[in-house]
Amino acid sequence: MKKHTLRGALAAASALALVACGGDAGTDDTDVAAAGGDEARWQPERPITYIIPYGTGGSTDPIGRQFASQLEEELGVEVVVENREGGAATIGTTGIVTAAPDCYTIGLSNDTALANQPLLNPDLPFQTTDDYTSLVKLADIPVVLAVDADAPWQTLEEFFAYVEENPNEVGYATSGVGGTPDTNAKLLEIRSGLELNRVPFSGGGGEALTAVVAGEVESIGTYYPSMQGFVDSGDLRPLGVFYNEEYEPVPDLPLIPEIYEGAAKPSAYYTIAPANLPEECRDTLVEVSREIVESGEFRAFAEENGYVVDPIQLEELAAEIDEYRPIFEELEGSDA
Amino acid sequence: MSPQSPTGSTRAGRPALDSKRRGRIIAGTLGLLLGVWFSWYTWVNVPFGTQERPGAGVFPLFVGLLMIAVSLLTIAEAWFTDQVSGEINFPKGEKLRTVLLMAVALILLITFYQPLGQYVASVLFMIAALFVLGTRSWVRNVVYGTAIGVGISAFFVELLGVRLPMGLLGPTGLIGGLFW
Amino acid sequence: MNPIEGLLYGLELVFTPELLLAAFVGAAAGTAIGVLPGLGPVAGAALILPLTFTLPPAAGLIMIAGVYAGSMYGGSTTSVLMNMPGEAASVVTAIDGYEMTRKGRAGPALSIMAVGSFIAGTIAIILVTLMSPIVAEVAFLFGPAEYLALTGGGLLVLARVAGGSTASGYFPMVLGVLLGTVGIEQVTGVFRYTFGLQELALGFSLVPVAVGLYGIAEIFLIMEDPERATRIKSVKLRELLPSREEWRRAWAPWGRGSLIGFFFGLLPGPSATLSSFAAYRTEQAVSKNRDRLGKGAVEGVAGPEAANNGAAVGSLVPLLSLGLPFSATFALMLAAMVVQGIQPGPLLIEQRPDIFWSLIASMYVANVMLLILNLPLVGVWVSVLRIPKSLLMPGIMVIAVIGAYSTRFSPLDVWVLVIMGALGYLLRKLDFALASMIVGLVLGPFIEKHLREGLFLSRGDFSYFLDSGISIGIWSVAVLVMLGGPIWKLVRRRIVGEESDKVKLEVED
Repeated sequence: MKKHTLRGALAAASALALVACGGDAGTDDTDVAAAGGDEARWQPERPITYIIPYGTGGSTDPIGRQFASQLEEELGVEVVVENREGGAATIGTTGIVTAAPDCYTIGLSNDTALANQPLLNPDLPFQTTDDYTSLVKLADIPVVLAVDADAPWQTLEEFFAYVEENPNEVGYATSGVGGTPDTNAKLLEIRSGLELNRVPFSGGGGEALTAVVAGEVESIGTYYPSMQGFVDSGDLRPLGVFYNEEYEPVPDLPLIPEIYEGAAKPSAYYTIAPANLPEECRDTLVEVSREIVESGEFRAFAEENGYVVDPIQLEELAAEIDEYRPIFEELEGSDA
Repeated sequence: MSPQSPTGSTRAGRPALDSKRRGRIIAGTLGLLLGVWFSWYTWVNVPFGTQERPGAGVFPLFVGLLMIAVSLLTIAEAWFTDQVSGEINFPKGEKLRTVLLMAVALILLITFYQPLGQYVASVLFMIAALFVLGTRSWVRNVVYGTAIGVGISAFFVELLGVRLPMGLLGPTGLIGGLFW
Repeated sequence: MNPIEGLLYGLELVFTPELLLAAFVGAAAGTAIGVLPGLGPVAGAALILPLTFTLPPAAGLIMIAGVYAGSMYGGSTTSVLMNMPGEAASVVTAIDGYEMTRKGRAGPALSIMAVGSFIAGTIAIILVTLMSPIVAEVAFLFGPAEYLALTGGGLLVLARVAGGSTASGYFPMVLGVLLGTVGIEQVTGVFRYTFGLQELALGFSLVPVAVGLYGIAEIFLIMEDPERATRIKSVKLRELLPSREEWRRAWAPWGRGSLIGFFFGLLPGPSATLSSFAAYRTEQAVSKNRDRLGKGAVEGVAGPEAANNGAAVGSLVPLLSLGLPFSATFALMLAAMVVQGIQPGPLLIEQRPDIFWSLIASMYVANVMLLILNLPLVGVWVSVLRIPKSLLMPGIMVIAVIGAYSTRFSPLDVWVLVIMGALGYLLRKLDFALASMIVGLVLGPFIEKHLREGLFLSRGDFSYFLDSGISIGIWSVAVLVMLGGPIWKLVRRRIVGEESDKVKLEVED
């Protein structure tokens, strides 16, 4: 987190130096040191479309809408949110990448769509990070491992010890094969040699959660906000988190990668745009999107929803996406 | 849809195969072909996984085989029983012309829906439909068609805020580009 | 606070001018959206959702509740008037509702629906109030095995819901299930049968399929045979209201439908659709007038309409007490709550009783609003049929195209609409039951999902599916209903003789 903020600040500084512009009229979001004239700033003349590759009201919809509404404030034009769900976010992402590169169509995407899907589907128009502009990373959200409160394991160590002795016996409910909760467990299996019985439940209906609370499956990996109600009511016991740093919403939760190194692959959300944007509007979008993610309003939103803000941009963001590719390749290659 | 009547099918005292039963035999045959092709395609292309971790092909293969079964059932039912029987009436003459013209208009509407955009495409379709269905009064058709086409489009685009294709009138369209 | 006090407290909170206005606006907007072919509850709630973000929590939620109830009702209105179901839950209403319209009883059908929805809402609210803490746990009794029994057994039972011969039901049903396998597979995310078409990855959406099969096909049938369409000469009040006999016949189906709906609402999956079909099937089994079903019987409208509204209210239980949205619309409602900083879950009723009870109350107020709004509107809707056909038919086609396109902004869906129109036209000429195809398309994906989940869970052991009393019970009932009808008919034929041999159920056409 610290490291990222630093990198973010560096990127911000270099972006500033490049464009030599800043201070946006009309808003008071000034927690970024920005100064300079407005002459280089691009001013859109018609509504901007923000594509969200998930359904309206889905769990990922709000973060996209939050960004879009702040973008509307910052740019002073209407930003129309368009939900294009399906195909593991590839349909919406294709819509963004293949839009006219005029800065009037941008949108939300994530690490699996950008780093994993191209491996599975060579027809997708976004094979490398050169095929789009990586405007800004909005946030990470790690997967939390929890067990049914009636299960015997009180700690992460106990849980892992049991799984080690009884391979492929303990059920682990996920939201579907290839989803981030499943990916994390698979990564854990590769790094640790443990074997879980990963049970993919599908759909956003919380069926995986129901199955664990009902005692049908012993453990679950999911994002904290969706399980929080059951944790508070004492139906679920979180044991650990697939994350490299302390996860603020549950500060004392043991970090799984501290036991098995590399067993962490949080879900990451990005705002991207088509490649080859005109320089003027590109620079403005880069700057404005960083301001949004660093704003107090966005941070408050993130905190409330279990996200960890991480405003890296452009080359640095592209580097992160490229770093994820070998991990996905490894996962695809293993038959765990 | 109207095959040659198999003459001499009245053996064993069964009533003649009327057009509805013949039609259902054809439907069943098409279903059978679909089922066979679907099962084959699934077998070849879709992963089956293991019994412990069944893949995406298991259920579709079952459905493909089921499709073959119900198609055979359909053929058999139409061939041997008269549970569903009667003559199919397809439109003739003037009515046939109306139906075909409207079908063509509908297909044109959806083909050019995106390039022309909601407003233009629906107005053109409404005018065409009024010529096919309504009177031959030129003025009336154009006025009504335009009014209804624009009315419906405006209701969705302006009032409900649905993002429909704007086509020619959109910001990058041929006409809209001049004004945005 | 006990449930009764809670409900009263909730009603007290809700009876403010702003909230009543929000309920009214929601119900009105929902009805308006629902009556447009191809735009149903999900589209309605999705259109209104962004607007509610700007309102205070209670007002936003009450508005979505209004939209939901309104669009369900609106969707059924088009089923009745034009044989054009706005969503899957209204498909079964079209069978008898449209027949009533063709007999000139559109007004009574709509009134029966409006009052039935209200009664079902009332019954379900009472059940929620009294039983919420108990029935919340029902969802935990159901695992993949039980859901497979429910959806798979449902498919077997419902295949012949529209009557007709064996093949008339099962052939389109399997075709529907087959269409349902197209697209990205839900459990493992494999793309199948997409043939390189990105948009096919989403599969066949129900809206263009249903509107095409029914609506577009119907328009072409009317074009070739104008006699088919109803002619409404006058819209007199007396003809809009049900006759005394029609009222009398509606009561029992309302009651049965409400209970069936409420029960299905407690469970995930397509509860509104499943319950409306199940209610219709129940009427076929138990109604005194079962021989008239399919020919414009009041029971065929009253039961399913009560059921889908009962299910809507019943779904509140898992939503509020478990935080689990069991339908797309409720996922939107959950989103609205989360945006407002409310996280539903097991503790909601203790921590935020105000929210809990005002939501329950708001669902009720939405129901009342719907009744107040829609009884007077019955005349207006019936008058739609007085619009000259040459204007109405192409107008509906344009709206259907918009509806198909706007669900997912996919041009492919517009083609699906037209292709399904052609398919529906041919299938109806051949007397196949379209409702069965919709059942297959809706339930197929759920069956596959639960089957696969169960196999993953039990590591490939099929006996898992018959390991619980509930699943054995459901399967037994399904097999009994499926085989019971024919066996009973056989027995009756032996007893009554040749006379009843002539009694043959007609397909909806």
